[in-house]
Amino acid sequence: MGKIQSAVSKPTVKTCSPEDLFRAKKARRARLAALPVDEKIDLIEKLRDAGRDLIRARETLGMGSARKGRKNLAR
Amino acid sequence: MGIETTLRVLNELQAEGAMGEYAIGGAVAAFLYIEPGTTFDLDVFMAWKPGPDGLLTPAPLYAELAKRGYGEYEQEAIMIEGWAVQFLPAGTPLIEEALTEAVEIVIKGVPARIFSKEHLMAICLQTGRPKDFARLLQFIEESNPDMKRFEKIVNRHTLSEAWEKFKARFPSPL
Repeated sequence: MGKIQSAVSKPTVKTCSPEDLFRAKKARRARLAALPVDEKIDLIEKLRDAGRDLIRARETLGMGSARKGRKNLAR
Repeated sequence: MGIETTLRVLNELQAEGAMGEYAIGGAVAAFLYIEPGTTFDLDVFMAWKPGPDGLLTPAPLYAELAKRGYGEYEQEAIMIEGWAVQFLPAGTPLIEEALTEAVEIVIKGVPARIFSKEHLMAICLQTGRPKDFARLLQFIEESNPDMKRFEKIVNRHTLSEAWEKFKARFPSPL
């Protein structure tokens, strides 16, 4: 069994446990929550503009109404 | 155009008496305490002034905005220097209190007032949509709120039952 396994090339994909993933996500959220006000405003405006671009793209592609796209984004 | 230009316009309108004292609420205010996300509107809460017939109306404010060249609308909001601004009345005792007790901050060099995090949390609890509950959880986990102050607000505005239900449903972060 061990010989067969060693003969197969193993992918070098890093994995982490769900707990590690949860901790990493929590740390990222805490870091973003603690940003200075002006940096947060920059981020909020970038996200808003990206959202508007996405809505325009949806409309161009005929993927439903802008209002629905907007509602989905707001979530 | 950034939000600071929009706030300068609002501050001018306030200084000239076209609108009363205002405070930012909604998602933009929330994102200044928790992880920022996507929003399209700037929710501005204010006490609306009674018109000649005694009705509370934002009409004089909109007339003043029109004089300054702001007449483009995006659904319920009026576009002011790149931001879709929604003027909302302090329509409940909780919002009135949030407006009175709003926090002064400076955004890109411009003074503004935003709702306190504890009031925003109580508003989430009162509004009670799934996204409001998700946001309330974020406030608890990310913003280090004053839970005593929050619970006092909850009790004052008869939200105790809703708060108990919330705690039973989402016990983990508490």
